[in-house]
Amino acid sequence: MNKLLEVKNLSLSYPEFSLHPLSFSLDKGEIMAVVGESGSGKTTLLKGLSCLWEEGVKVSGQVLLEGRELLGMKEAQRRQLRMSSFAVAFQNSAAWLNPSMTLREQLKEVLHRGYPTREQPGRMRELMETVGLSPEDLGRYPRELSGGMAQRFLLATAIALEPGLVLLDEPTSSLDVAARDAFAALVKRLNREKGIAFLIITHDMKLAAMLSSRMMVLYNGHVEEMGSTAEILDYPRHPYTRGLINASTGLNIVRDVWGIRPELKVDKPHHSCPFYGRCTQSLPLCGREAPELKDWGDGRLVACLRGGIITLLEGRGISKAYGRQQVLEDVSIKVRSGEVVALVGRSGSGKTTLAGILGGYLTDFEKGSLLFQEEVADMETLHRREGGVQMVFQDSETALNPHMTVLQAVSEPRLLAKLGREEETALSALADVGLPTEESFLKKKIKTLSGGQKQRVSIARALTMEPAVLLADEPTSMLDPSSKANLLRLLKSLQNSYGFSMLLVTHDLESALKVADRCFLLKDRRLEELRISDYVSSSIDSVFED
Amino acid sequence: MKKKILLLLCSFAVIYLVNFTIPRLMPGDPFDYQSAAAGEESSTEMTEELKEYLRSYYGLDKPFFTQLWENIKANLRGDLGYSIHYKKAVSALLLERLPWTALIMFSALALSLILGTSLALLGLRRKKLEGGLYALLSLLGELPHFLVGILLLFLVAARVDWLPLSGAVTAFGIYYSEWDWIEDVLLHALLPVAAMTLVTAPGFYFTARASFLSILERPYILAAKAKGLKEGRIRRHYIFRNALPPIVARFFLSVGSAIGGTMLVENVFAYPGLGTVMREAVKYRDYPLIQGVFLLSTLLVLLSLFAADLINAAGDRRRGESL
Ligand SMILES: Nc1ncnc2c1ncn2[C@@H]1O[C@H](COP(=O)(O)OP(=O)(O)OP(=O)(O)O)[C@@H](O)[C@H]1O
Ligand code: SF4
Ligand SMILES: [Mg+2]
Repeated sequence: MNKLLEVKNLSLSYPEFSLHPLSFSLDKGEIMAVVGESGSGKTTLLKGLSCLWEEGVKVSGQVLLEGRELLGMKEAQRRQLRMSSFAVAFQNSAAWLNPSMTLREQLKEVLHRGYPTREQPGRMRELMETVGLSPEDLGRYPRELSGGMAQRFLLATAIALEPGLVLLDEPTSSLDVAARDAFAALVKRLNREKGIAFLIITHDMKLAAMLSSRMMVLYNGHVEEMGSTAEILDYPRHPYTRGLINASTGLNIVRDVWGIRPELKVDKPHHSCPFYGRCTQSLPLCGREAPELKDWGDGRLVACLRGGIITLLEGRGISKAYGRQQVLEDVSIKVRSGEVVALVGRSGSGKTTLAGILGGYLTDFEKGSLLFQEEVADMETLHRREGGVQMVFQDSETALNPHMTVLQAVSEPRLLAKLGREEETALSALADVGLPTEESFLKKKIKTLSGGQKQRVSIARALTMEPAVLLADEPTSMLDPSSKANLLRLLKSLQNSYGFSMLLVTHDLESALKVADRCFLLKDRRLEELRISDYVSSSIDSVFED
Repeated sequence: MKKKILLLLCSFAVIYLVNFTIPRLMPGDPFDYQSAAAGEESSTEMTEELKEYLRSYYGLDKPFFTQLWENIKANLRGDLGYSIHYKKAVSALLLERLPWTALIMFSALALSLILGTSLALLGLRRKKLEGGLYALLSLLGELPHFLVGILLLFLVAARVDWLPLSGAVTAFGIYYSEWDWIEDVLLHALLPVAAMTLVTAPGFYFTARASFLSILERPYILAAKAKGLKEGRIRRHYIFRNALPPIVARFFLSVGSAIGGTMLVENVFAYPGLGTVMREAVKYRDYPLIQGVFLLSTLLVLLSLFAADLINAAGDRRRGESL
């Protein structure tokens, strides 16, 4: 039997918060990471696993350590296992040390359970050196330690009796990048040399990426996704996981980081998906039914009624020629829910053509098919309904009727689609794109607007339709650098808060990298996905090194 | 640290000055009183010349600042003046009486510390007991010391014949051994100390309770559990050790009110400490003696406050709260 830890339906409830029943197991010598935002219940999970909860907490489920059930055990019995079979180091290190005892005394308390007095000094020295502290530090009091030193000392204490399992809560939260990397290397070494299994709780995705082979994603007391770390980072399935990855500064060196949009004000019934209010692809069903964590076929566990992030718009095998000139050949692309996809390429490479086809505005292509939410797309109706597909054209000069007033131009799409509430949505869309909503501006003729204003009016027009996918063709090409930066940030922030997906067509690779989740290069009639990390090498991690 | 010492010296100077001035502002002087022939102890009536002679003999006719300067010089030599009433050097008198007061006060404070802390510990482990304890001690802590003394005198001492009613030792007692003497002293001290302790212990209970509760919430208590330490060890090395500084500091902070309380309680039990001397001194306008007693208590209180400060600072430093 290779299972070290087996957790079955462990659940903890405070009056205001509960960690919902969760199950997982950990093999001997494995490293697993638990990630999630602040308050997602990571520390709570640790308290449950280590049987260290406060009074008044309701606990249920089972925690089996090498087959022995911990939760039901008497504390006197559990005490024998503490430090020798499993050890835990909590976050905010220095506060976890007794202020009136020297480090030596505190380490001795643990060591004397496993080592005769005679061997203790030697073992202490060895431990201190292992974690990168000096044996002289043993004479110090906790107040004389830096956050990093305290963290290392806690690790030294935790591994003192070489337990099979070490639980670490935010072990690197007070460390700089270099110290974090050193810490990660240390954990790796202990894992390799001593076979110690680690459960590492962190909100640092980079640390999770460096250390763990498997990963659990917690949100609001629920496990949202669980599986191999490499696969999850490469291709997150749950919208929340993707949000976490996108928000990680460590994993996104070039791209701007954007937090997951805050909860929208929907009334969330008790039985609903916990991510309902923040999800970009929620269905009414998600508000009524709580998804269970389950395997959707590829070994990945995802808690989502839709099976994880869905593909909104897909072009399959598209080929297109203008006369005898072949522009696109067997091009396939997917735009998933809630993401920004950049389509880059040199001038004349066919970007606008592809965008036009994907947007359903260019219908005569030779081969290929369009799918919307995995069904053959009826673009006509998608243009005319909310939650459909909208496009902001490259040339706003021609896209807008110069003789219309601003209000007319912005309310036109809904008017044509007979959706109602034209003026109301027009005004809020104008406000969203940062244009004035005074009478005087609304009455202005389009032809009197500046290039940047026209660009924003075009975007507002598309927004009134509350699209699921927005295609924007070179939205910044006519703008000066400052307006360009503003508009890009505006688009990204609209995307982040509305939650629509965006296909951004541009020849400006640098701006694309700043906002896009994925990036495609159109070159020689074919499409190729760019892995940003392959092109940008970063030496940022070495800044703090000596 | 330097600032604290400076503050200590300044407060002492101010109090010294006030202590020196106030009695001289009071109407009347010791000789008026002694000559008033109120019919108590003194029966001689003094003539004006004799009073004048005495005033100049005691230096009371000199200008204020000269008196002050000479006073300081004399004090520095350890000379606190001459008690007009007791006709004895004040320093000798104080030295003779101080041990009794100190005995009562420090035993009462030490007992209060132990009792208060133990009760607090008990309350933490027996939640049911705690409510009643809290209410009872809140009430007790509000009573004046001497009132408790009087109650003890009437309710206990008057009914139990082996408990002496007054004094510090049996008058003209004959002791066969040191132990006999010690037993006698302890018996005499019992009620005054009890009266003091009953009023002082609640303060220690509240301080200790608050300190324990705050320590119990510290993460390192959980860490101690995570280390698999035995409960006794956690209690001693993690809870008690860290909760102690404010309790010990309270010991020194309490000296101020305890001195006052002891002096009053001494009068209830006619205990021959500073309190009874003080009463006499006030009664007979015995300036040098009044000043001597004041000076001594001031010194005691200021030094204890200073000690409390040091302990608190050390505690904070240990916790790394201020460096
Ligand atoms: N002792 C407690 N009593 C009541 N509620 C608690 C208690 N401890 C934590 N909570 C609540 O439980 C939720 C989860 O807290 P927890 O400490 O597990 O979060 P976390 O994921 O570790 O966050 P962080 O990343 O900030 O450490 C929070 O809403 C918190 O307010
Ligand atoms: S699609 Fe529904 S079930 Fe899935 S994460 Fe979004 S809200 Fe939850
Ligand atoms: Mg936490």
